[in-house]
Amino acid sequence: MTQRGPEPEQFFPRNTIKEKARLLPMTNVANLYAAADQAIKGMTGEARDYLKTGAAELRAACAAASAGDGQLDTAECERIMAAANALRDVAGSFGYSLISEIASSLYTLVSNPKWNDRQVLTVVDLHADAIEAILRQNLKNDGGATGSAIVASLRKAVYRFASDR
Amino acid sequence: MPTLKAYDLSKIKIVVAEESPFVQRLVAAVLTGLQAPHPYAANTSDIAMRLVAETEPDLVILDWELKPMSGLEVLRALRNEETSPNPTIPIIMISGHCAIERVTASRDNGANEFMGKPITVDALYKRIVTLIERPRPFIRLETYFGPCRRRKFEEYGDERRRVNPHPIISPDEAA
Repeated sequence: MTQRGPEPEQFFPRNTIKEKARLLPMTNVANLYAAADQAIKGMTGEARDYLKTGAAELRAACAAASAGDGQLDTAECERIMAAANALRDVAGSFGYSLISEIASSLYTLVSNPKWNDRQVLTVVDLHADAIEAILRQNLKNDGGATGSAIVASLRKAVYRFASDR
Repeated sequence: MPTLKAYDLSKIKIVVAEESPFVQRLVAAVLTGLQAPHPYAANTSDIAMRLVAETEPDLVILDWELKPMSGLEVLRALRNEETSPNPTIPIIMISGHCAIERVTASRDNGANEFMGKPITVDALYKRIVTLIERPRPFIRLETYFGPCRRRKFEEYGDERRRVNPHPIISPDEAA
């Protein structure tokens, strides 16, 4: 027979959010969302500048890494991953879901130790090209036919790179 | 999730611990849009810990990628350190990298909720509403202190559609 340990202590702590939040019976949550969406919309111009700066940082990180020899070192990978993170974290909030997707791909690519040879930088550069093209053409959401073509071409490049390894 | 109720969040004090000033402002914009007060913002773990002690917030929104302590370390410290200003404070972990390991680690170290970036109004509001309407009991075990983990993290069904089923790099390639 298995012996059960003592019952864990269980309690409900004071919930000050519950205490302070007041139900707004006459308010539709859509109105709250609309106000918050408007606040985000107000940052769109700033977001585009942020994404452009992020794309430039990605390009700079890639160029700096290209100057080295052998495997990519931790600092080089981290710089590229940080640039990818910064792009991914923000792009989706402003409708640039393609950039989020490409930045996620970039992060997966560079964070994978088996792909840390300098050849990966060619594929990183293609990701940077794609992000810049999306910003230039202001492609939102899936980017339509152009967006599909960009993703298909990146997928092909990644496949080719991965198959060679 | 049934129809969401609208809440007045104007009395709720929130600390946002996030390294990127732009993301800090984005979260602040979402919160103020939802009629919550402007949050206290921290861009390092040290400032986050100090703000939690000084401002006695009702909620902490904690990014995984914090420094010098990571968000996960801050979470552990808030839950388990003797010096923690409030070991039961509600904590929403946020992360740009939503691998299952991060979700599990957040849950196993006492986060109330986990939210993947990008930040959206709907995702953040739903988590706050969960904290209001469905608070979980706290459990104290030898190896764990935090919200009961038996209930899974709330499944925010419509958000799953945000995960691309056909990523540029397939899991097979990355393996």
